[in-house]
Amino acid sequence: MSETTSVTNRIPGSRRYWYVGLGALMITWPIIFGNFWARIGVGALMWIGLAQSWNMIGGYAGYLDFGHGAYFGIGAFAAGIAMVQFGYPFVVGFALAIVVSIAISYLVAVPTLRLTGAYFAIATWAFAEAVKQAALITGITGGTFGLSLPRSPDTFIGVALPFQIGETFFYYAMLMLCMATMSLTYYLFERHEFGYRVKALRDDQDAAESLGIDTTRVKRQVYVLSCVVAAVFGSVHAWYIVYIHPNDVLATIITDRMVIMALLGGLGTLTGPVVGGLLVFLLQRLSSVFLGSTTFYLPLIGILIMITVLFAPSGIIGILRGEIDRNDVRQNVKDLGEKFNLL
Amino acid sequence: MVNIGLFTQIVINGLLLGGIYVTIGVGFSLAFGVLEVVDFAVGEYVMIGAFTGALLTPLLGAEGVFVIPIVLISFFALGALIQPMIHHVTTGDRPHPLLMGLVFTFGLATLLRGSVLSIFGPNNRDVPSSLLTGGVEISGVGTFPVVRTVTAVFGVSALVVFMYYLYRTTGGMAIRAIAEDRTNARLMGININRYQSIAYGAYAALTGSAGVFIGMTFTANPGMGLQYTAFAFFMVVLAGMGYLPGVIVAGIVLGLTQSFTAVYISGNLVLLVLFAIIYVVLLISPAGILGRGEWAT
Amino acid sequence: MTRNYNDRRTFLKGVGGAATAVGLAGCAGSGGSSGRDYFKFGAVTSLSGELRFGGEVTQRGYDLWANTINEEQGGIEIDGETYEVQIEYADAQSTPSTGADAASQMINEGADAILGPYSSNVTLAVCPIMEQNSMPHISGSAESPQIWQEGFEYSFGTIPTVSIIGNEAASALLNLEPQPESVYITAVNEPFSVATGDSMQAAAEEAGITIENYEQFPRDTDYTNVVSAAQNADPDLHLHGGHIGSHVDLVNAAEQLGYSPDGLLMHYGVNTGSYKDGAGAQAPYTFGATVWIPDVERGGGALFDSPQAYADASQSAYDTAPDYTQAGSTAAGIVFQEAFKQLGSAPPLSQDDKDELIGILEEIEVSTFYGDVVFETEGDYYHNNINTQPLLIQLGEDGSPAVVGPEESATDDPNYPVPAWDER
Repeated sequence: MSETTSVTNRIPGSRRYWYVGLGALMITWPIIFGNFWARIGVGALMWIGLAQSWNMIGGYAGYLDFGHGAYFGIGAFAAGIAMVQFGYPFVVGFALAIVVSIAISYLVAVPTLRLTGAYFAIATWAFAEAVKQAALITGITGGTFGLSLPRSPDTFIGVALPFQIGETFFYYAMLMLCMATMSLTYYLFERHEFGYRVKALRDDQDAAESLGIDTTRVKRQVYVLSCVVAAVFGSVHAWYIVYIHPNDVLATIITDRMVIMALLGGLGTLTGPVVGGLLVFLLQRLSSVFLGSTTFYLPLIGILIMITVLFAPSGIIGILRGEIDRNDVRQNVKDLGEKFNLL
Repeated sequence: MVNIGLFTQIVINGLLLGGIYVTIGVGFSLAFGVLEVVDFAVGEYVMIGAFTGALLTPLLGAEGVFVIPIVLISFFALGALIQPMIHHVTTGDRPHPLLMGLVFTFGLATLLRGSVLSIFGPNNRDVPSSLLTGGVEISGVGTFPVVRTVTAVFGVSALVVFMYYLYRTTGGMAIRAIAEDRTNARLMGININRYQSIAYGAYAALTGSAGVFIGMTFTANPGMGLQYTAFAFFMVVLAGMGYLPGVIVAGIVLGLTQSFTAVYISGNLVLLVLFAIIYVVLLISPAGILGRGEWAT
Repeated sequence: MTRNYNDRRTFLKGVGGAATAVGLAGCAGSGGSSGRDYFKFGAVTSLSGELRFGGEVTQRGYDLWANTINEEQGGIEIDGETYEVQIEYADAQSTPSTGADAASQMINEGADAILGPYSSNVTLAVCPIMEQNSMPHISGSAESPQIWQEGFEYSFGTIPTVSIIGNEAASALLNLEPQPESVYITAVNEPFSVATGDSMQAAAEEAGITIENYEQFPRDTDYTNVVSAAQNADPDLHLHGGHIGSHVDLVNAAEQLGYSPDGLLMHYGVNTGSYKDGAGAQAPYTFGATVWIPDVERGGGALFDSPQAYADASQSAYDTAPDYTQAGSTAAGIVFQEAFKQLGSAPPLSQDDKDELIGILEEIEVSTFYGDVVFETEGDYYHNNINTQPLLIQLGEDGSPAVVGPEESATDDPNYPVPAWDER
């Protein structure tokens, strides 16, 4: 199936204005709305990117990576170590994050991707926890005390710059990274032959092999790519938040959150992580506004997850695409009821 | 500095700690093997069991042990109710059944933990017991804390009872049939739903009771579940998924490793060593260290 | 099917558009105000998440200050006019990144000054934001020495860093008769607890007492191993740094294995209800550290006449007895109020006012029910109040705390050596 129409021509006219408007809003966001909303933007863009990175290995390739958050932390500490322990500017930390994550993820990929399903999930989880424990006891990561990164204007490229490294700077940085991630995902997984190979290996690995696809190689490529994306976001996050500690940037909740965002949005879709990421992030950030000072958002998130899995497993995108409608839900409930037939 | 007294005490500590892990591992291994579900909520069943102990014990003459029968019955019912939902999300024509089960139980775990935290607050609660206090000192060997010893005995007994049920009763045979081949089992006329609910209910009951014991040994705290979920996974990986006798070996290995690493190497390295062992075992021998585990997918 | 599909899409689009419009309107609506006739304080603390209960302690402290000064004095008096105090809260949700966002939100909404978070790691993410925006900030809770080592110009703290609290409390214990010869030190591997352990180690070294071992371990360790190793060393005293859950696990394991050192000192949280409830029968006779309890013999000062008066006010307002974090939070507010009076500027404060305020805070000495607050201006404890005297406390048979050290502050005699488990 060859595509002769350009990207812009493929979008119907009415929607074009919507996208242009949205694009303009995103570009002028921090200028119009100020520092606090710029920070919300930074967070939302970062989580969309992270959810998308998990979607690559979990959604498109079907490998449940429950240690993905470790690479976020590895990227964060790569930047932190470069800047704090060696005094390099941020760009070096950024590059180091990419190099280190490629190396580690490849070393992990070779043995671990031989496992499947639950084995792979538990193995990646164990690996991530081991990384966190190691970071807590080694000196170079600041050990149990964490690291505090410098933020003066000359810490970006080593030469003093005329502007402050503040919220606006990070907003545009995250915006560019997020756009790059989305474009990369779109190009590689939705348009390029690579995407077909990945989806083939997810749907039926043996069949894919018999068609001549080198599934081992494809698996490793997807895994390494997804880990590098997570690490890149991690490095920028470290500089943004200034203080990093293994219990914060290597926490299991990071992986859990990525998974839920991708699942809620729709696994294996391009826009799923966007929707899921935005929804979960905003729900969590603004929950104290709606619910006051309680921990009620925890059981609420739990129920939301359970209901989604029970009745809308293809996520919000699935609902929007019409894959689930009232009849499906009714049938679903009926099936569920049948399962309670115990006697 | 080889001190025999300390050495034997560490061995005792390790074995008894392993006993605690066995109580969690037995039920979890059963659920894993029969229902093929990676249950993230296992630690929360422990937590709720401990909380039940903390709340009910004052009403029952301040003796935690009396809560056990109540927990066994109520948690069995709870498990039987939850299991159909798990079955539902892991079957049918929905994609990613494994992930669905995993995420569903993760949502359940969050719901349970968040509810207890919201209702009861974050504080620690004691599960008192006047029967199981102190330790029994055997000179030349070491001190055996009573509550831990009883917990270990409970765990091993539960294992023996389960093995008997699985291999010597028709009900147990039905469950083993379902574990081996669900479709054929249904064709043989076995009521899948009923037996799966029995299995999951038994697992919840046992894990909840383990929680009461753990509450007596330590305390009850809403955040305690995560740690026990981790240990349950450790157990099942080392034992070999679905292989019950392996649970004892796994418990011993885990308990001794933890104790010896903590005392003779460094307390800080304990978790790192444990996670590294899990990772390596999965890469080298996914069917457990005895190589007797089995897994459908 | 297609028509339902299209209808639903249109509906969803409409909803989405409306929500966005409302959201944007809300965004644009926030901004600074001019000509305010009240003092606006922003408080960043964890009102949800796992640190919520600590955050609530600081909230009670800050609110009690604001409500009391408004009721009794009408507010802060500047040049004959009194201006009411209003505190707005932003939730840090127990994570540093949300905490930083919350701090930014408060600055955005034009606060005059900021009252700080409960936990040290959130504080470490909030302080850089304060520096960047030149916003005065006092923390009524954070104790980690890391914060003060960073040398933040715009941040201050009323509670002495744990390196001092742990050291002084341990020294007081080590000075009791009969003099101990050896100690065993343990700490949970997290920043606050390791700092506590380090400070206790320093105290033991200063007193020339043998340290059998200093062991660190993760939070989820099994304490039978910790206790067995300690028991094997047979120390006179056992010192432990951790949080409440860890203390409870330690005493339970000690009872199960029959480990009874002459005294067990643990920090932080021995004098809290949570420790008492969790440790049950093992709680009595435990030693702990604090800088303030309602029974402490101190004078009053601005706003509250005595520690007991403060405790009474807290009891009638919130039906709880206050701990030292709540006291320190109220003290933070009191320090601000005195500094504002010295500054003499009406709200809203300009940036020049705020810069001048920093200078005032560096020089100021405030007497409060909590103690005397003075901020250091150089060294490792930069902008930390190390003036308030740490205290050694011990839980009695009923579990209530009494001050047993240092000598000049003690109100009771310590029960030392403590009775063994089977003698209770």
